[in-house]
Amino acid sequence: MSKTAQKTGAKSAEPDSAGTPKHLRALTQDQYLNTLAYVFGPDVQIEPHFPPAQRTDGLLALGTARSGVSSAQLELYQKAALGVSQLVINPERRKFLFTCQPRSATAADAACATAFFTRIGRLIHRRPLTPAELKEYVDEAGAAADRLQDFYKGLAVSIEAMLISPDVLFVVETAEPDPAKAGAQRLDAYSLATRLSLFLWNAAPDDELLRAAEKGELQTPKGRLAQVNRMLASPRLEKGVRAFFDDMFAFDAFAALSKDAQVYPAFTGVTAADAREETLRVVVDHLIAKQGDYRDLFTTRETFISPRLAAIYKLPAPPAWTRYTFPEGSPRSGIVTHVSFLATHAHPVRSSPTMRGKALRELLLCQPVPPPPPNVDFSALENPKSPFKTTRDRVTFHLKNPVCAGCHRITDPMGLALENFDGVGTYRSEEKGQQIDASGTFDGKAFAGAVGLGQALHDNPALTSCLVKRAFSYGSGSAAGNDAQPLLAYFNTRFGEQGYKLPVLLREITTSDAFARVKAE
Amino acid sequence: MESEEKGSSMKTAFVTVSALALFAFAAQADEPLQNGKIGYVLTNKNWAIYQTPDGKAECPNGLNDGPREQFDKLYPRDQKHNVVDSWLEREGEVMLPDPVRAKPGLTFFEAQGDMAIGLDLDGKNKPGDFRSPDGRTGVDNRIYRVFGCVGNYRGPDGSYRHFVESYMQKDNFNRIMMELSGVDDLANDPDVTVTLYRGRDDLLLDAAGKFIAGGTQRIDAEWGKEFIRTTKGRIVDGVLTTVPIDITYPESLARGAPKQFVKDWRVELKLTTSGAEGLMGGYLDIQRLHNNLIQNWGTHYRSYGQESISDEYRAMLKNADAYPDKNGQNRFISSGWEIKFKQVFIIHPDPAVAKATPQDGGAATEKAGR
Repeated sequence: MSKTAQKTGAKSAEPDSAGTPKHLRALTQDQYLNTLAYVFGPDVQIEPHFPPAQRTDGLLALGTARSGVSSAQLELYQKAALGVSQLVINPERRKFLFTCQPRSATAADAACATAFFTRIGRLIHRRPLTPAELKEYVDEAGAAADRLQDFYKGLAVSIEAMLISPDVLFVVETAEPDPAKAGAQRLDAYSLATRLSLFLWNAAPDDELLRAAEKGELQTPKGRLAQVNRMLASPRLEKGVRAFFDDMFAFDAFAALSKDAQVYPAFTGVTAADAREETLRVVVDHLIAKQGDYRDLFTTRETFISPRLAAIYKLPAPPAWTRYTFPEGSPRSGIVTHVSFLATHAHPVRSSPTMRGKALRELLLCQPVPPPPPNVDFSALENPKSPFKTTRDRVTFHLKNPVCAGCHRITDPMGLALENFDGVGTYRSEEKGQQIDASGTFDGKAFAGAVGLGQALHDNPALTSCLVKRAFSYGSGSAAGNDAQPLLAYFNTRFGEQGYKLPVLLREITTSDAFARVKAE
Repeated sequence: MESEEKGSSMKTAFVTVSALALFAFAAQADEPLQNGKIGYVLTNKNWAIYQTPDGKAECPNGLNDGPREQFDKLYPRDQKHNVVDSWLEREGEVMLPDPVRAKPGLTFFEAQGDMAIGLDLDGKNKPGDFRSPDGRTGVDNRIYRVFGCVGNYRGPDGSYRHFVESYMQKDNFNRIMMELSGVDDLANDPDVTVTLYRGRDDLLLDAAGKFIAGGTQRIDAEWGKEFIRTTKGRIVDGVLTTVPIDITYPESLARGAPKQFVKDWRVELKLTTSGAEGLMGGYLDIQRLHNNLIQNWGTHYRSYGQESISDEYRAMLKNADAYPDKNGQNRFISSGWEIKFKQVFIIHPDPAVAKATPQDGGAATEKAGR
């Protein structure tokens, strides 16, 4: 987009799109916590343990549209809400969270409660409360205050109720006729504000975004662009970007990651947490702070290390996080040579070219790999007296069986390029006394080792088109299907024209007609 | 992680220094032996105590009494005693023991036999020297006579052994590091330089709490200056032996952080890229060791390990075999330790900051922009 176009919000050449369905989806735990931090302050911290969503079409975010709430889960929500309500009415916090003083601290005060819930309710519900909703919260708070002879404790009852309200825990998108296009539907202003905010900040809209929605500014190209630019310039963008890449890279796998301590004694729970953090730090630093080319994430030698990671990388590291550049000639470059990728896509006791190749295909290139057939015979591979000296020997065996070879030809030649890294990502030159052959191929290109793999990924057009697909799906809440191909191609072109910079892509998506367009049901 | 980055300006300065030092490593491959240097950090150190399975060969009379047993023998419970002649007498004896005579009725058993673990410190096989289980002769480890039949020092679970190891993990005061430089080959090299430092960081542990290789230590170039010593060594078939030097090393005990002084200190260590294991030996300053024990090793610990420090003091003086005073009394005793190291990356401080001391008011630090 030209600078002029950016300033005016004028769009050109965006292909016509049917849009995406309006959704009902659950807030994630992080979205809930980030919202509470904005509304009540960052020190209102709880550990709610919300149930995880089911990964759908490559993203957890899409699984939130398939979430239900069992009674046990509701209890978790209720427990979290109770904890928050008690923190909010804490005497120390009242000073800045309440804009009015009750006439009496031991009785109901409808006027003060109305002022409080009008302000807080709008931020928590992501829209102004209806008069009926406001009255209900105020009335319940008043009744409880009189019963408990405490204005604030009465308020806490209604705060708790608000925080477990389905309207709060679930995002219910609503549509309205699009005046710019006869017969078409668009998200209403508050639904659009929420979609934007969850995408870019992983939190509910802030006061300014809701104001823009209330004033109708958000429904104009110029107004939406202004809000998007404001959000992209905000420090809160980091949380949104972290959440998106944590989802896209399937880092939820860390929750269940375990390594055999006998085989990998240096890998602990702290290592796992630091590995996740390392890659997210690089993502934020490269894509936001430096406004770097997305493709360079797969070739950059710049990273951050902690003492625990340094033990895996066999490097010195002072306490705390430190910037580090893998030297020229190092076998490491790009995020696929991070411990995060290498450890999560490996077995507890050994590396796995197949798992790594599958992850490269599915997570980074959006190329699904079919699961193994149910009748596959693993006996030769599971034989404790394995005749295979190296992992390459093991996986090469797959290719002898036509049933296996179909998929393994897709995954293994890429994964084998990472064989210089063991099951937790430590460099090795030998395996069982045999020199490791880390040559690989990817879509007809041959290369040696992880550095070559990173460059091959960098140069492959599927890398950026996959990011575009994931970002649009994540932001809109819908898996981008075949009918979205022209739109995705358009985004990808715009992305490339402007140096594959992430903020550019986020701006293109969030200011597009397609982002707010509601698909006819 | 942000909270780790907060702290005093001094801490911040050292983090910055360390970060800068880190970049010095950036051009190196991720191998422990880099540019002819490899670092090790001490993880285990125990007195070299030779033990037979039932202990009867070296301790035919059994293990020694501790404070409780001795008190009962001196002051039977069925008799009346006044405070001055019982409690205070014992406290005085511990603090200022008679260097020659023990209280009548008390006996101290030294370790017997001619077998001990240790190094030949003087290159002589003379009367009173030991032979070792691995066939050495002329082994100098007279302190084994003193500690060999004291429960505190015997393996596997003597209290002293337990606490020295426990404080190895809990404390930083006792963080001893050894850096080898000028190493061409870790298996054979006739000339390497060995430098001792004190480290500032925690030891790296695995999920089960065991020490592992691959950690990082920053040198304590300020408060640890007195521990920095350099000597030469040679590596033959993977075993490092060093030229004797005098050292002071930090140690953590139950209630304090003493320093021990050793003359003619040296090591004999089997080296690998992940660790080092073997013996260290030298002549230990008896008075300093005794002072450290009485000041830092409480009666509580001595009681559970049945250790009589005043008897040990007399036995040390009796067995002392080096560095006599003007009266001809030897003041140092040959000693041996079994030690283990893990490989560690050693970060050297910025020279400007290393020179900054409290006396210069931090001027050098400020000048260095830290």
